Amino acid sequence: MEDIALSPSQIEFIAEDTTITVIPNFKMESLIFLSGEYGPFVPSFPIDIPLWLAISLKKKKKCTITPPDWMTYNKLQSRYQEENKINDGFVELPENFIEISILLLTNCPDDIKDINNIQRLIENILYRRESKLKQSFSNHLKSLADDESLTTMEFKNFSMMEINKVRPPFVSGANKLYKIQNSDSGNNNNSQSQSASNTSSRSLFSKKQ
Amino acid sequence: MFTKKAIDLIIELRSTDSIPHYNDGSIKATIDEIIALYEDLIKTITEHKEQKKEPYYLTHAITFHNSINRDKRCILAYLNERLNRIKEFRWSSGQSLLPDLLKEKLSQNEIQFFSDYDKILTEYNSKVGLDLTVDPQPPKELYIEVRVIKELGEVVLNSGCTVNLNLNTTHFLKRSDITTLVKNGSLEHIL
Amino acid sequence: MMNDEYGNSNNNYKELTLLDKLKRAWINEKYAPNLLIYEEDIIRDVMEKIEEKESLCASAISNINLQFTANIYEMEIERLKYIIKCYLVERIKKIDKYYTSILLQIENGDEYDDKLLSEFEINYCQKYKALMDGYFKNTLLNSIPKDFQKMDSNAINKPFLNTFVFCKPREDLGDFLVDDETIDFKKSSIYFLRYLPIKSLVEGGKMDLI
Repeated sequence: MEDIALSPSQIEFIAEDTTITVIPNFKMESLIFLSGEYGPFVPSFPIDIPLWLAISLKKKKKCTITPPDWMTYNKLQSRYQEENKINDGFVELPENFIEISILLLTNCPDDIKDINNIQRLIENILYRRESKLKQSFSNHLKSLADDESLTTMEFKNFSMMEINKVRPPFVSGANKLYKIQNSDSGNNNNSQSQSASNTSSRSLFSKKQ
Repeated sequence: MFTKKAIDLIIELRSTDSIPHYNDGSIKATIDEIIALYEDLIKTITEHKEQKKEPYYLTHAITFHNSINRDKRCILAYLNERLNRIKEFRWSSGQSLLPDLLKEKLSQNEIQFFSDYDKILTEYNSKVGLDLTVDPQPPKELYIEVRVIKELGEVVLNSGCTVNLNLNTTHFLKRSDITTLVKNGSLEHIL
Repeated sequence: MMNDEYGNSNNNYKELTLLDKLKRAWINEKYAPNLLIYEEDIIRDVMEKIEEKESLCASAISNINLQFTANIYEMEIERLKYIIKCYLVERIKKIDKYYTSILLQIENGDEYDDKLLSEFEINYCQKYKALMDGYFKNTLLNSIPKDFQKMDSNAINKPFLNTFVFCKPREDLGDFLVDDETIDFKKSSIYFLRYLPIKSLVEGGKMDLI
């Protein structure tokens, strides 16, 4: 009952609301969802629909899925090179790119060109981003003076799945640090008036443009 | 040492994630200790009214007073954590009845608590029109394939249709109709 | 505006859909340490839509041609119900944990706090408190000397508001003072910081937890 983070399947569930282009092979009137109107469905005419529906139709052999532009080999290749080049910050990819790519790789492999290379590139990008992230957090901690409170960290292009992965160590680590630093003030942890002093502005992962 | 039994209660509970037997003995002994400490405390304060500010009597009183509070907090923490685990069972099983194996580990008060908690949670669920305790996983497919592992015979599902759930038969059924049956182990989801 | 190659800034163009609002309500409740105001309008609207769609699906049962469409709507309904459940469960968990301080907040609070719980949650919370109070009296408090029968005020569970959270502004908010630090909250960024300084922004619908 006591989960600090969403489960991976819940994050995937959320990502399934992303729209994706499919080419249906059947005719159907428009669907009206809470997220908007989709359709009408006309055979061979591309249409944007939520990913969960696309996967369900695909399983019933009612459509082919067109992988998003960013998931093509060339695009991913250049993303990966850029990801390697920059040291502070991440390259821009969709908020749910990990879940979307996993869902597509497993559910419509026949619709993805160059699938092995794409899979490898995504893994490489993830690996590179993860090591950058760990580095940045430890740099941030090192940059603090002994008695200095943990200051705000700013991120750009950080995906949902990545946040969720680092959430437990980040949150529990930062909370413990905060409790230790504020324990000698005599207030209990629920004190609302306590505000950290000696802070300075520092920003991480904000692309300086 | 004062509060020894009370601390043991906490240690006992912390050593496991499941629900151990209700330790009535240690609870009673700790309550007895509280009463004894209290009597001694009152005696010390009243018999030495004039000297009660003197360090000897003051520390005596404070030690006894704090020991009582520590005993009390330990018991409350023990009771409360057990309630959390009992509630967790209600949530994860979706069941309104305690299995015998669990029931024999609970105190009479805890059994009563479970049934009262079940009542208010069931009332809330029925008011909002959703059973909050089922469905741990996000929905994927509308229909799932299941195998019957406990003979159920003819069953009328929420959606109105009737099926014969005989032992070892497999069925393609609406997920929302059978989550409770999967959860209580009557059906198993074939992956 | 920039182009939308990665689909991340879609919301600049269109208004939030009911689905977006429902999901935000869930995620914010999930990550806020304290109980947030009950999203009465959103839940009511979504429940109404679900009922409409359910009766539509029920009427389609006899028509084989509509069966396919009805199944799709049923999938949508399942998804919506799942989110509502998650949202309500997060709230019940907090109510179970902080029932005393929540009831105190409503008792001593203003109009804002009146909307903290739904009608059904208030009923649940009061009964739950009576159950817990009665339980501790029966098992312990009534058996010990009167002077020690009261629950300590520091035994009341309160949410840890200084917890660190990840958050994302709904729009560019400009400079805000967080502790002694000035932060220029931008829509395009994600921030990792203590909850308390941004609590009012979250409650005011200007910031989302993620």
